[in-house]
Amino acid sequence: MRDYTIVFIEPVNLSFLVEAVSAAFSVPPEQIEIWNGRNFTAPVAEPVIAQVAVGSGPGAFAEFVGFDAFAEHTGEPEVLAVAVELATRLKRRVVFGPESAEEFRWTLVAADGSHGRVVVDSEQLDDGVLAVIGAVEPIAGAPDLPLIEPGAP
Amino acid sequence: MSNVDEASGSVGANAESARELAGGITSSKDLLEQLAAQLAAIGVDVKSNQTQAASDRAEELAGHANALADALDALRAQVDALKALIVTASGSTGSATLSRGSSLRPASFPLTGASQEPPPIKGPAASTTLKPVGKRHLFGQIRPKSPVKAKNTVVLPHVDTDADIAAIKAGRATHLRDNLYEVNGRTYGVETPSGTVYPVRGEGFAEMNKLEFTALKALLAHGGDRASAERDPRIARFRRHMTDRTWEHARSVFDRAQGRA
Repeated sequence: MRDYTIVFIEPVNLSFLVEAVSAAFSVPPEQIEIWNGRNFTAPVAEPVIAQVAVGSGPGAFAEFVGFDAFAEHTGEPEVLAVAVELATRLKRRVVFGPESAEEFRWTLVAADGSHGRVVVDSEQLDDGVLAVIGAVEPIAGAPDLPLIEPGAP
Repeated sequence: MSNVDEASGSVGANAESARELAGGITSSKDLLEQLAAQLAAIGVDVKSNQTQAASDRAEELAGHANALADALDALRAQVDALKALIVTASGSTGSATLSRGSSLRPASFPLTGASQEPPPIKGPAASTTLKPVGKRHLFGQIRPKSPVKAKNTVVLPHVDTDADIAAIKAGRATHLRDNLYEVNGRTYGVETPSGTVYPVRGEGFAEMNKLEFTALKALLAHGGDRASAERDPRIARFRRHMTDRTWEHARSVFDRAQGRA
């Protein structure tokens, strides 16, 4: 199962997010679910291709989610490409989680599309809080993030 | 190049091949899943189910290939440790040659006398204070607010992760590569710089995708009752995307954790 979960770590209006998804990936707005935390805000047309939602906890302001239907509709882009598209269109920072069980670092995409691996606070994550504590590599659009030593190899 | 060097290189190359094989199988699995979805969409249910079953099998094979790669990595680490022992024993700093019938034992075997010191710890565990596995991974401590990622590894209750971490700290685990260690048939990673240990794969670990883990959280919140779980408003968001297969995998993990599978 393909999983495109992109989390906005800066506030973003869900309606603008729907517009961005629709424009960037040629998805009819009525085929995008909008979840406000309790309900879907409007009926959707089948097949549903993507979903936007309020964030799942502190530090996560909104979320874009696409599964296999989104992958098929868009020609299976890399998750990074989707994240860059959304971050640059909405001028907001996004992150997405590691794509393998062996990896623990997330990827942050800044509003200008620059990106790099970051570390999130593991203990806070246990409590549903998404907090980026630093970058593993310099990210031009996120100079405020402290650089973290990767640790001894 | 010595025989030991050649053996180490050969094992390492085989590990890489196994990992590439796993990647190839995973790609095939993804294609089969897409095909199954397309067949289901046009109403060819029997073929869709067969294709989905093939996809499931491919996923299983990819897991085996990854496990083989981890085992080969572990073997390579042992060969390297053996080489170090041979060099030490021969008092030479040059290349070591492993001869048939050598009386030296692999590094993981207990030795006597001055050689009893444990092998040096490699990787981040050598310089980082290790912290326990996060509660979001532990079956008994998963809560509705536990974060869900694309890939989630759940630790079943019978696994003593603290004992495994103690083994890593003591140098009794095999350093696979980078921040990954293998101990007691399980692969762990060490986050840097925090030192938090996280489960990857292996005996007593269940790998789950986003929807499966979401379904498991719902089953946990509703005492294993799927019908009740499906009515949970916190699940409603993904109801359209969950299939019977999603629930079946979540159920199988739930049952294994309860000792019913």
